[in-house]
Amino acid sequence: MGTTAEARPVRPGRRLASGARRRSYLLITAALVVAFFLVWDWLTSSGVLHRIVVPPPGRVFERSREIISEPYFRRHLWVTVKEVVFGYTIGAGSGIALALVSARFKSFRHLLEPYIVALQSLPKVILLPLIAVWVGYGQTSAMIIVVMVSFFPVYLNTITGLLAADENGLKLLHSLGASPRQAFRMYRIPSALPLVFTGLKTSVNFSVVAAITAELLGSRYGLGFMLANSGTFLRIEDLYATVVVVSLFAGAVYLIFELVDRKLIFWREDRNRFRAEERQR
Amino acid sequence: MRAGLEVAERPDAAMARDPVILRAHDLGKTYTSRSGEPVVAVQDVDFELARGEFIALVGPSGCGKSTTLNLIGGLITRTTGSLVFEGSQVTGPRREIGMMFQAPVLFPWRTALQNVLLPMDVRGEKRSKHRDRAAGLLELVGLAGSADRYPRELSGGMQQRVALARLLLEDPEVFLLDEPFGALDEFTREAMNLELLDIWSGSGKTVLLVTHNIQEAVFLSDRVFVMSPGPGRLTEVLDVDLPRPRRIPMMREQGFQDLVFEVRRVLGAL
Repeated sequence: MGTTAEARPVRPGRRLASGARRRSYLLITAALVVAFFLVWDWLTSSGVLHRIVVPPPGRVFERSREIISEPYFRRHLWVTVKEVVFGYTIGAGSGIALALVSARFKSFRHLLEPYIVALQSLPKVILLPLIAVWVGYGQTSAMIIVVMVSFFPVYLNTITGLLAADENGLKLLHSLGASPRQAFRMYRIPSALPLVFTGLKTSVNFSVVAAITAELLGSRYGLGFMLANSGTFLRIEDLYATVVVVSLFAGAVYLIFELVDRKLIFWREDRNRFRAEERQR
Repeated sequence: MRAGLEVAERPDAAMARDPVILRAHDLGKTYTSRSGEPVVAVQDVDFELARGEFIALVGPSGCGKSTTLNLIGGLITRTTGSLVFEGSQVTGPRREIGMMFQAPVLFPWRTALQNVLLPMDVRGEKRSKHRDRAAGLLELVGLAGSADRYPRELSGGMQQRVALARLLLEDPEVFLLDEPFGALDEFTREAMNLELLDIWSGSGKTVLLVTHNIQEAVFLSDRVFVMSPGPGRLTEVLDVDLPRPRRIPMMREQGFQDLVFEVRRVLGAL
């Protein structure tokens, strides 16, 4: 028993080679970034670009650091974070909840589907002026738009994941005497998780964009307001620095979600594809 | 003496002595196609499975082998006939009848051990109660060191071993095996077949194995059921009177060759 020597799916030689290749790509990427900043710096210091339109990168980073340490920035950051956290929790939460109910009860899905189809393609931002009429421009309107943009990717990915669960797994559970409810809990939900997280990641990016857009269009608080404000008063260095800071914020949010995803959904297919192909050979 | 009396007093004692564990009579399944036309998948299937018997089920694609297995497993409902397991009609999946498929169907978020424990999770029993037995079964199928590995870290053969351990944990009386090693390479499949024989021999369990491989069917079984398509029927039953334990060199012997040839003839594959 167990005497058959089956090839383990591990090939150290190949893995080393791929590691070396990955490192060289990383090096090229880093070199291109450095080159970009060098060119930018040269363009501004040589006078090709006017310092007022494009400040040198050194100034932008210095100003960014200053902005981050200012209480003024913290106040606005907090407003945006609040809008995103509340709006996203409501939007993504109801997306998951409705998808669960839809997947479990066909009649509910058929009732809901026409509305989803009609509304999903609508660019939610065009509703901003309308929402502003109802509640005014401010944190509430930003939050409402965040709810709307975060709902759809989560709902659609979750329902797709739940319905796409492999037939074989359901057949196995059926043969083991599992009830539909058990199959849903033990199989459909975990198999949907990779797509649920794809939806959650898409939505969080959309949410940050939506909140800042809403703030840009007339709010007096938030990172979007900071951007609009620096533009209006032609504080060009501030404008660039705010762009950097806001990008960092959006990047940090994305990174957090990506890390949680990697930790939680360790069996994700698209990430393991490379490994699976390795094993095939 | 006392023990014997107690057994005799149990109401199912007569059943327990019944050498036939499963009886199919006039078994049939008709589907309705998309255009509303009836499609007969299997028809007039009659057989009896004796307790502890190893049956191989062969036939060309579309002859209703899998349908027959799914009917016995209670995954689909028959349209005609009767199917009696230990004196009661089969109306759905039951613990005493376990299934294994061509795909290992492991859940990627569960370790090998957790996959083996799946039947107990379905029953709502505590995992800790069955963990030792599950680990022992993994050892039995040659995966002692892989209990905490995830399916993606296992080769196809190893994954199918986990599936076998999962089936053994369920401890059914009848094993319905739908080409369980059909997707594996020749060497691995042969090794798995021998291990299956080892595990089965002396266990008293009944096995119904679907296979495409005629040699494999003769080598493993006590009887070969031959099905033919259009509509699916059980057309022939051949007794395999080779001694046990079966060993690979037997494949060279005339008796084995004759049986393989006979199955081929019945299948019309000559």
